[in-house]
Amino acid sequence: MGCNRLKDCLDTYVDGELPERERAGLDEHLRGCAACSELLARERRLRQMLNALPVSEPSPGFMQEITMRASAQTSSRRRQWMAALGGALAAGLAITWVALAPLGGEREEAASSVATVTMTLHETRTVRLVFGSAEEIRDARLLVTLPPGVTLAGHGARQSIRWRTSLRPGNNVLPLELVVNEGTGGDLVARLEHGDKHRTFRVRVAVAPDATPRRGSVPAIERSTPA
Amino acid sequence: MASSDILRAAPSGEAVAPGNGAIAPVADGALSAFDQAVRPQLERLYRLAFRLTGQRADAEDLLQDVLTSLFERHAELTSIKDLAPWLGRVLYNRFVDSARRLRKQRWGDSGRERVVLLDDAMLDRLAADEPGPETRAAIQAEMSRLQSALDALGVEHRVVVLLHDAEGYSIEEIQAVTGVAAGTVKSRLHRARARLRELLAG
Repeated sequence: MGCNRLKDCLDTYVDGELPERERAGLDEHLRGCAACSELLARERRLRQMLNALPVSEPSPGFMQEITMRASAQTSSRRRQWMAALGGALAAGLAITWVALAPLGGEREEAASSVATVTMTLHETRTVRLVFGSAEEIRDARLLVTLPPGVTLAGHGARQSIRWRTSLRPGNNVLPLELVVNEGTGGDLVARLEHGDKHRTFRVRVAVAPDATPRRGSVPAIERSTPA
Repeated sequence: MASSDILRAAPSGEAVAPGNGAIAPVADGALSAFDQAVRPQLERLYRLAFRLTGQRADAEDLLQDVLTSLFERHAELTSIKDLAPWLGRVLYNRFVDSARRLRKQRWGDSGRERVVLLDDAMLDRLAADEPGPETRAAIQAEMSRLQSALDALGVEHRVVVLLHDAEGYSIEEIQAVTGVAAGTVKSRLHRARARLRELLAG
């Protein structure tokens, strides 16, 4: 059993698949042959290294969003989205979806074409809009116009509020702490602008008549400055 | 509060998971069914995409392309008996097609400093003793050389050795994904290992 034999059988030997007698013969050879022992050690090391070869983790959110992106990029679904988004749509603003996030255990009613949040008089509730962006968008402007009788906590009696913001690839959450002061509600309009492009999203805020004031059960999302 | 940036990325898994009722206004049964069918396969498919392309961005693009193209046919997916190898084959074929189209010869991040992600599990497997900083650096360098050596292999040999020795695919599984006959897979595997040993010894 010589050096050539080991070279031919190296893989099978390392895999432990050689018949007993042949393996014993090679073991014998290895005891006396430095070159072959060296070769065996190198092969074992190679296998070890290959086995440990790392796989990079996917980007944050990638796996969670992948199927949704697959559906959003399908043309018929894109048409549905465009209809749902409403307003004038300029091509190219890379917002792939805008959605109303669910609140705790409560389900929001999705009417046939507009997302609806049902609140009661004097209620305060944090509603979250999620803007799904395919890419980073710097220096966008966000304009939120509130329905009559509804204000945003911390913004006094203002009916529209404007922000400058940047969006990251993936989900970008806009928490809006709505306060129902009076009235029967109406449409909340969120308009995201970047350069000369914009997307608009409407949420119907329906105010149910209810004599008992209730407080929203969802804690406000803490705000942090994005990197 | 009003003028500062208030939009930030939501923690993943929060707002917009399918089935949450989060996506207004369209009730999304199709998305839900699709997600249910493919989600158990996603991690394995991502790893396959990573082994084929050598880097994260390309792996994500490849996987996304495949899923997007499959979404239209999501109803078919439920009738496929062995979804895992079937999806693997679809992904592999798309990889081959795009590599051919783009004449992509290089694997991974060749040409740039290779970033090797050293984690404890890897160190445990590769370091004989408690790894000090010298050992870490040495292993990192060794892994870097291996990646360069893999880069120098032809794509057919690289795919086989990675799927078998890095991912633990059997010969039959490699045959199912690549369409290459088992005998050819075996000989490519032996040749790939021999070539890697040559490259690493030099």
